[in-house]
Amino acid sequence: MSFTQGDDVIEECLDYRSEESREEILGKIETLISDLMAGVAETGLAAIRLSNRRAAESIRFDREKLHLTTRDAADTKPNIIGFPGPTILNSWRFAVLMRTLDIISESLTSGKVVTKRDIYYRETWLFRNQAIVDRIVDDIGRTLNVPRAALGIVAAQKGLACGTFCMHKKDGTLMAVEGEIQLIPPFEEIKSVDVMDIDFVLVIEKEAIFRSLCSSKFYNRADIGRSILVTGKGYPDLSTRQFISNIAACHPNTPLFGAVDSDPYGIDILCTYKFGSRAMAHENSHLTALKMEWVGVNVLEYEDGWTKLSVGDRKKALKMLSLPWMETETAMAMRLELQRMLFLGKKAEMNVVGTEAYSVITYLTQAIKIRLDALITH
Amino acid sequence: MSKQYFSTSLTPEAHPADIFCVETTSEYAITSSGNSTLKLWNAASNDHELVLTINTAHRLGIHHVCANKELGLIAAVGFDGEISVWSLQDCSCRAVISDPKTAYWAARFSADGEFLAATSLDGGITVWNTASEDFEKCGELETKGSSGLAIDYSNDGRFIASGHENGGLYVFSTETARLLHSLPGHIKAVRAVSFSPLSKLLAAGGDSNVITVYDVTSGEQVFNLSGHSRWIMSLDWNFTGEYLLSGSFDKSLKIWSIEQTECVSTQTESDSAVWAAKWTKTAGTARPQGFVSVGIDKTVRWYREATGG
Repeated sequence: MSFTQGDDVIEECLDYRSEESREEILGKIETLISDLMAGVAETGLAAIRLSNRRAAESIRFDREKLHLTTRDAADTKPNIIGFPGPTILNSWRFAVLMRTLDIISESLTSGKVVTKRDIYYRETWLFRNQAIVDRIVDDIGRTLNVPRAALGIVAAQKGLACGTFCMHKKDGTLMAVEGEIQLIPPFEEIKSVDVMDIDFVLVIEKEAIFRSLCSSKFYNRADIGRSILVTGKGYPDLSTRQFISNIAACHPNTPLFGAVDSDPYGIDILCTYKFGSRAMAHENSHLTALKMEWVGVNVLEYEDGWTKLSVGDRKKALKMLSLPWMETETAMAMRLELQRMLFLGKKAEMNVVGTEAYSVITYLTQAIKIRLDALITH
Repeated sequence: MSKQYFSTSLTPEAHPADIFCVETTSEYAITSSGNSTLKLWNAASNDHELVLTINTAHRLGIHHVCANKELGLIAAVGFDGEISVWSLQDCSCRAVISDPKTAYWAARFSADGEFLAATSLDGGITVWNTASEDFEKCGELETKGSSGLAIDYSNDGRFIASGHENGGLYVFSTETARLLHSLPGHIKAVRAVSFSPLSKLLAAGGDSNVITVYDVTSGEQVFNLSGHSRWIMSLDWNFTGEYLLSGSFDKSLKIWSIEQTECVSTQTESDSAVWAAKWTKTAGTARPQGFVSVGIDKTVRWYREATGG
């Protein structure tokens, strides 16, 4: 769970490395599907009972706790969505439900978090509008009796940016960011991003590292210059990817760096920014920032603080090595890193870089300085 | 008394990725790396030029390679967990061995070439009969379940030693297939194990940065060799048993005198981690034995002893 300050929005984020609740929920979804299949075998009709969240009768006032709450799912009249249905509308509802369950399962299995907006954009022709997705997600949550966050779905955008830049929004407003942490708004609200005179953009995997860089004003330094710092808080959502992709496209001469943990997930996150995701394969050309350069961390550069590669990490690393873009020149450095992780059976996280005297800030400053200097001499 | 070695030749960019392992026979040094090719380099010539390339199907890279000259066989273990066995005569693939339940890691042929043994990430050790048509499995040894990172056969064929991620270090009898010793001395990963040429001593090293040496018969730890500042990745005895060669993550190679139980030479030519190093086996030469090392710098480096005057 993490809380943002500034905006009074509480964001619940599924830690993509936690195992437990995910297993349970995937189990519940599987039960839902197997019940459906049993129903098909029996009656020839596929049907799922969705609890009806919105009906007035399903909401009640809890006199003890003094807040609105919902009746137990069992008490309300369920909404049965079946296939084949009497009308095209019914069939469409079924398709919407199944596709949403599919996307939720996928995100739970991969450990990635998605926003409702991400889900909508996966299949805009099917979902037709955001409101449909919002409703079905809430219905599923209620039917399975889990909070939306446990489904791996976050309510709002999660990307954060800091530095000096401004965003011209389509509603005419100007969002000027001057050294404070700003939530990256949904991309369709943005008309243009004006990065003004910056020396580089740095994307950081972890929020904690991002915040510590911001508070030490890493975005405005005498030695490496002015920059924009961005974090997707792990796997980036659509808005963050669009934001980065747009800056990369509109400012081709501004270097773009990515700093992630030296573990298979960190590398995967960098690849998501660089090459795109399988989920959004149909739109990846607008969402990728191929020129993003990996600046660390490197499993070789540690003095201590390595941890053992788990069985799951190993599987992930092998899976990543098999991906088509891993054989390209651009991905070579990351391929080597994954192989070294496998060879040593170790991984390393950013918060433990080197010995105590040698902090993440020093590490990143040096990594960036080397690259900026190299660009000047060319 | 210190020894002097110098690098006689090097082949940079020998592979497009890290070179994880090197094996030596009387004719070749064989290297395996993060790409899928095995390369065979001329061990006898001064230039050590590339003689042969074997294109394997290990698309994810090859981290271990071993060879048996007698049978003209090379076994390569890929990150995909499979072992492929190649015939040196015609570079054809003789067998591909895989186990859906686990991944193989380190492999070694017995001295006479009759057997191939390999460790797996689930802790087990498997032995195959190389004489049989389809490489029949003829033995399986179980350990406590920690990934087996290193393996060696003694020259007399009587013992197999394995080193594991949790510090486990075992010696098995090949005749009875029973555990002879569970050797103490490591609580962190053991990455290299090597029997002395007369099968009397066993050297082991890993993440403790210290090489421990044991008497094979009694299992007693007879001495330690300290000096590396990082993990020991590879160990190899020279053919007389007088010297031990170690390669380390600290980027150096060290040659240790067994008689003096101390380091007699340190090579620091590489600016990055050494993944493996082996003494050369060029037979019947008047020259003292040299060695070859490989690692992250993608370079194959040959060394010879400096003979004074």
